[in-house]
Amino acid sequence: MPEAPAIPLTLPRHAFKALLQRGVGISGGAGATVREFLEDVLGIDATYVEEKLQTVFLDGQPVDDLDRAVVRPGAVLALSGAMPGLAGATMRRGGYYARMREGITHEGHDPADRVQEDGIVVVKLFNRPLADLAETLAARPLLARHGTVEGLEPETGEGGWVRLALTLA
Amino acid sequence: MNTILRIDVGADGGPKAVPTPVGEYAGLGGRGLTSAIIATEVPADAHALGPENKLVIAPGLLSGTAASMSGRLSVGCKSPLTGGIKEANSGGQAAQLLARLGYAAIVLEGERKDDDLYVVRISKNGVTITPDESLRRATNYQLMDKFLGEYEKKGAMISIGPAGEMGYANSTVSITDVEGRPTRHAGRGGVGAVMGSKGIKAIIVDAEGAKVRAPANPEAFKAASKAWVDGLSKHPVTGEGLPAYGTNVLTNVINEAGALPTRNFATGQFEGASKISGETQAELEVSRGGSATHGCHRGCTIKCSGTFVDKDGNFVTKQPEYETVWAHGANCGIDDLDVIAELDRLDDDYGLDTIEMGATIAVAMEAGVAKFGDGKAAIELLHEVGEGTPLGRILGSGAATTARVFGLEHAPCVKGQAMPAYDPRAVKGIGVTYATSPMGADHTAGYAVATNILKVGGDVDPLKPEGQAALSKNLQIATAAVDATGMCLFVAFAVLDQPETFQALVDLLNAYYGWNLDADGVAAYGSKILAFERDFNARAGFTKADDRLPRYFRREPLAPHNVTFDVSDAELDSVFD
Repeated sequence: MPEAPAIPLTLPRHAFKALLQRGVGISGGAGATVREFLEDVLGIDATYVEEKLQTVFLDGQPVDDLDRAVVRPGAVLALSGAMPGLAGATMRRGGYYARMREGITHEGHDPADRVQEDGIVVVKLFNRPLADLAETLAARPLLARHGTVEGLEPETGEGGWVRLALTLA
Repeated sequence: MNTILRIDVGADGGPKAVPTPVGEYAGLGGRGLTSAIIATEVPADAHALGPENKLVIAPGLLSGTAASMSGRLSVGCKSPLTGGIKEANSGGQAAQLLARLGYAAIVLEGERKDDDLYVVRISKNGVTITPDESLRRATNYQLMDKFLGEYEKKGAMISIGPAGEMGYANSTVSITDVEGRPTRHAGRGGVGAVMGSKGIKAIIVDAEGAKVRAPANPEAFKAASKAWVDGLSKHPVTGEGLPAYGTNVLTNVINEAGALPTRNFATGQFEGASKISGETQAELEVSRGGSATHGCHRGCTIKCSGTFVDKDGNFVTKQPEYETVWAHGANCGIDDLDVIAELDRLDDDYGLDTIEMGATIAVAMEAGVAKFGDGKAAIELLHEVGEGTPLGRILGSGAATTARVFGLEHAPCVKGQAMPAYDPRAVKGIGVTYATSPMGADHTAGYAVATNILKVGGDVDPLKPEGQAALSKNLQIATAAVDATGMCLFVAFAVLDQPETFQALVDLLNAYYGWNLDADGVAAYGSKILAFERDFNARAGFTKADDRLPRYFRREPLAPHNVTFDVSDAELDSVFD
């Protein structure tokens, strides 16, 4: 868990959006369900979560039920809107064509088993959520992996992560 | 659209055009018409480049009307790539204009008497056909430079590049877009080679004086048209996602799912995906003065295309689509959008299918012809294809032939046609369609995600084990029906989620033709088209053994999920049993 001071960094918006596609680290909140993480940790409006986040991946697996998927430390959570194409339709949460991606679907956890844990969760934003939620994420403490942002030196962080004091240009 | 224009390329004195009544093909359009003519008139054992084959170019049932999104053109033949029946589908201006001139189809048929290249000119005043030797080996953009003055106001050009002339199994028929550029292609299956085998280099369509087609019931058509556009505009995919980012919006998502075929289908995730994503592409296009939102034909509501310009603001190509970005990008290990855009431009110019070409270059890279990730080498290989060098001719024959020449098992093909941008081990349902479609591996063969509304063959529970095969069948039926209307397949998303939008599509057909179609009727229409196609393929020698993915997709796990394609042969066979 990096405790080093945050590194001041000014990023143009397009560079920040590029970073969000690759993923930023969120410290705290691991152990929550995906819905709790989105609403309580990231502060995304519940209606937006329900209506706009039509495609959600946890560790690369499409999630059908946000209340039955638990975000573990080190997890990668990717957020997308509704996608085109048959493949896009198959990836949608609880979609009619979900059967067509059997084998990679997130099988779900028992929400009763969730416990709060320390650790970093990687969040990626794509398409509509990238446009809508970039400012929300910019306003909260973020971490970036070494090598994902130009200008960050390898020795500036711990455990492969750098804490950012971010300003959008 | 009561006329089929038949051009006998073997007529005395040179190719001769004869308008004929639509006759027994009345009520068919687009893919329905191309497949009906091929299945009825072409001997299934014909050589694809022989005199018995025909090339059918057909607008959809609603093309040329005021209905939004109705500008798709179907091009059908016996495929030089697969050996089976083929319908390749394209946007662009030509479908609307041919329909307004009254043509249900153009059929190129017969045996050419000489090696001359001909230009066909079609207008309200009739048809002329003239030889033009100066066009030999001309690229599509060179043809544009020569003929734009003839068609830029109210016309379009249908043409082939050097790939079609040289008879490549990978060769397209190009259709010009709103600006008159040859950026739209009936891409799959080598249809350009069949046009080339008939000696027709270009068809110039001049629709000056042609009127928008008038419906049987104007008031009902107007109401349905409004409901149709409203439905498309309010849906998050057709109204927001596609206009903002284009189809390449899928790169990040499919990569995240571990289903993005990378380095000739070796893995399911590409480390450079965010560099070539739709989000990055749109940002780059807009920052350079290009555009991320553009329609491929007038009357398009969705506008999923765009304009890609170089760092100095000069036009390079239309916005590369997801399939192109994947084929030339992740599948070849290339993470540079400028390289991908140049490859897309070259594909359009030489008349090559971007999916087949990208898959072929990836096979060549695995064979050691070039290194994965080497964009410069990929560009050089594509020039070899366009110039017709010995290596280029091998690559122009497609991924399956290239793998055979270089002694590789890894040919990601079904019925000789390369798979598109979704690994079937991760998205097995799409693999079922790749395997069983009469077209060969084709994502658009099962694209019309509207089966829950159509309820083809009754209700299907997609969560039941047997649902996979039933879903694929129903998707293929729904897609065939949409392909016959001339509607872009992207309308399917709004149709999927909004029953009133599906009804608006049916209402458009009924109001235009005075029909009384319902959902069952639409399904029956799609089934009839598939029946034509499967019957042709059976007579051409295809069996259930051809409805399979290559064995290595069952044997070699795909990272990161380590999944294999494990849909049983019995389940595949059940799709059309």
